[in-house]
Amino acid sequence: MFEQIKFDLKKNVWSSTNVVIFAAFLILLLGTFFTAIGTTDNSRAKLTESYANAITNLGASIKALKKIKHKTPAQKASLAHKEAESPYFSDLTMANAGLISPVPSGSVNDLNKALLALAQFGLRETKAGHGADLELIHYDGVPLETTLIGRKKDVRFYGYLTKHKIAEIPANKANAPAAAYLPFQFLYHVSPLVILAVFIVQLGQLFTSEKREGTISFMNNLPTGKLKLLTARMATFLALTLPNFALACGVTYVITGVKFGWGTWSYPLVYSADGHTASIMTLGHYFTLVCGMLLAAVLFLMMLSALVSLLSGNLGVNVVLGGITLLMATSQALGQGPLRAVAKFIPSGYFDFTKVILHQTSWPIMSIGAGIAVMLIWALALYGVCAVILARREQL
Amino acid sequence: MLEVKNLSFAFKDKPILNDVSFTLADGQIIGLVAPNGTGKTTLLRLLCGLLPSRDAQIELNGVSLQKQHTAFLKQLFFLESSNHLYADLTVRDHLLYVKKMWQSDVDVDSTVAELGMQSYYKKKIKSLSLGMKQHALLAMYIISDAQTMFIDEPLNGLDPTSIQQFEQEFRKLRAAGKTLLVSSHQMDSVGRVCDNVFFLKDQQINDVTNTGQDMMALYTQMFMTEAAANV
Repeated sequence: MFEQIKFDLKKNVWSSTNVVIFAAFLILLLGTFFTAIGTTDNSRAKLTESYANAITNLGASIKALKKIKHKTPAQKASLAHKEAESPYFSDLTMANAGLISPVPSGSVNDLNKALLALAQFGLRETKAGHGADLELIHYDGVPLETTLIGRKKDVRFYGYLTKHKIAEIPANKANAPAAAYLPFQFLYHVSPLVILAVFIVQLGQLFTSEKREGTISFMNNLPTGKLKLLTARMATFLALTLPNFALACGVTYVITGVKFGWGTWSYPLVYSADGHTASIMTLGHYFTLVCGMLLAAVLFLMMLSALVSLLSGNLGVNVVLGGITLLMATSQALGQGPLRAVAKFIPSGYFDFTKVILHQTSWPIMSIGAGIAVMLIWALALYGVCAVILARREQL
Repeated sequence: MLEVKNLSFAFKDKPILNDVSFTLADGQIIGLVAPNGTGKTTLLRLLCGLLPSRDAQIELNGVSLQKQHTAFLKQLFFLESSNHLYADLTVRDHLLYVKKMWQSDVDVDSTVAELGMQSYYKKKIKSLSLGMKQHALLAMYIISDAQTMFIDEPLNGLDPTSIQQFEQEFRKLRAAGKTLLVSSHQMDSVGRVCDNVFFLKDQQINDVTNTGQDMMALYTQMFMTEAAANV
């Protein structure tokens, strides 16, 4: 087996495909970096604009309610709630102004505290059944959550920032420090499905090259089991492509770190696993989970590609079938229709791991660990099918 | 000893072999001769399991192709063409790999020296001429040390000196007890080195013992007379 892996590595290590795949990973990961180069970061201005929009909307609502001469009890109550919210926005405006002033007069934590106070007010109001009267801040690039769990998440998030005295990094910040840049790429800029698509191309190339180049007849005449040959090919793929991806991540981390600073891996992401409780996950934890889920997804796709290669040596067939499994991972396929019912039991349900980790999928899923297990069990099952096919072929 | 019984094969509606049986004894060189497209390579592919042969019995020294596939292949070496070598790997890579996979004791360096391949031993296959690739392929056969060797058109692209060298190597392998089934169109060479010749005609094998007769005349009689009559 080791000899076969060594030979397979020799065959493939200098292939130009590896360079192309590395370049593809790098372009995907550094896309935002190149956008940020030579442009001024306006994420702080966008954040200020979001606050200002919310304050303007709140003011307009209060004004409109006040104009009504004969208010219903509900309108009176709504006005009272909105007026009660107004001071929190005033504090927020003051704290933010202190930060963005040419001569800064406040600290990051002043803004964090103002945002936390506003979030706590929002949570109290929502719990009391007045959530509809709240004026919520709509952040650029982040979907607005109007539910109770949305308010709980706000409190948890700003509470963490306040406690650790960390400045909020806007989702649209192109020049985010290295530790935030990579996770943010997966969170906001590059779909994991696109990353997996690159792996699928590499897999298709590797598993069909012998048939395309005619060298498969030599492989099939080797005095060793065909399953061993296929397993060695899988090991070769993992030995080539995973380091390739890791290198692209490493290069991205270093380049963004040198240019934008290193940042902290303890920056928080907020999520809810059960829809009731808000929890905090650090970027470090998040990125570790991303890597774990990516590995499981790649293992599944590798088995799929290997199985398809036993049935067809056509690169197009291999890549298209891999692509179909990726399309099955979209909300259009899994969020509705018959696949929704089985989504939690199929690997495609866990391919969009950014959403899976933060429990933001529009289809039912199990826990992250169970999701990894689903992908690995399917991978094992496909490996079993490969073994059966090859055993039958050896007896023909 | 290779024993083949009841071997039949067809590509869709084109029959290639019809209930063929034969035996190859150890220490023999058997020529496999037929016009292009008759099924020489197909026969070789069938004999090593690259094509299915469900109803046939194929045994090499008592080891069944169907039942003990890996053990069967351990005693056999067949690589269809030097075009099927790995273009980006060196001759050295190929030879060392064959030595490991067939667990052979044959010394690589002495084989390379014997075939005069030192100058391109470390070169990539894609930079070699057809003749050099044929030498590399022959070296792989020798280094495999397999008991039975199927060799498909080994003399293509070789100059007369190399042809003599190849024939000499085939004789050495026979002397070492190896069995060689060699497909070829070079009838003069077939006449010089083969003990028996399998003429593949009408989906059957006509086994002719080489007694020094004119092989080209035999070929003409067997294939070209009929072809001329059909014109």
